[in-house]
Amino acid sequence: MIRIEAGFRQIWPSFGLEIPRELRFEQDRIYHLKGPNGSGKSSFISQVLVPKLKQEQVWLLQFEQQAHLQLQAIRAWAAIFHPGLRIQDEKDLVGFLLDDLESASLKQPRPIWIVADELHHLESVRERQLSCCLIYSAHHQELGDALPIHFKALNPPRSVVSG
Amino acid sequence: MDTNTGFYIADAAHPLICTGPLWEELLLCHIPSERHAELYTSFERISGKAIHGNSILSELSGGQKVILMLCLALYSSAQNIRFIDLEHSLDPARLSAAMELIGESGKEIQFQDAS
Repeated sequence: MIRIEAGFRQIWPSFGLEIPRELRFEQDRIYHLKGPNGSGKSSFISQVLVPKLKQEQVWLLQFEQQAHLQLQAIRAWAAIFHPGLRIQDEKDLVGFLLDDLESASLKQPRPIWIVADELHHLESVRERQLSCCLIYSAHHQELGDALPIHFKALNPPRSVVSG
Repeated sequence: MDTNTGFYIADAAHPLICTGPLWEELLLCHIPSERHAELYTSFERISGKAIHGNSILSELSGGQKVILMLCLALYSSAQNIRFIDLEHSLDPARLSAAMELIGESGKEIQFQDAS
């Protein structure tokens, strides 16, 4: 389990996140970050959640928002280290990274954390049935048993995050 | 070039080209200066965020970049526009406001889902 402490965080010069109560994320659970555009979901992922996870001894797989740069980078990496393998689109990217994650986890077991920011092929992640914690942000995708984390935009530019 | 059949592609997977000030993106999209104020107003109406020519694009959220992409497409001279994955990137309220602006544009619009 990881804990995100309560408190106010000035994420960007003109934007802050208020976390009134400690947030807890546990293994074998799915969490859905919900909120309107601009309410800080991606900022929470990149500036709070992922830095916290990087301090832990875990396997972390992050799917970035608007992932074309990630797709190009993984394409290039695969071309060098897995010649012959074709990664054409986001679906291939998801499959390739999940295969890599499973392989790494078999060699060296650690808790697995998957963070997905507006990923189209979210179902592909779920279908693997990995023992992991999946945290995702999406406007139009609902995974049935996900626990919601709500982002509410306030004025002046700050948002409140509540589990 | 046959400009009657070409489409302006607005893909939410990579909504903007520039990361610096907005005026650079306005220049790239050939938005006439007399329409800038109108574009800023439309963006604010949809996103709730005020912008101006010196606003830094990298400071926008992912969804706000997509809303700006939409405004740039609609205020450009293109008559035919294809939006890719617009719905995926916007929450229901922003999507509804975006569709309203699209409807007002009088342009030929296509929607495509990349997934």
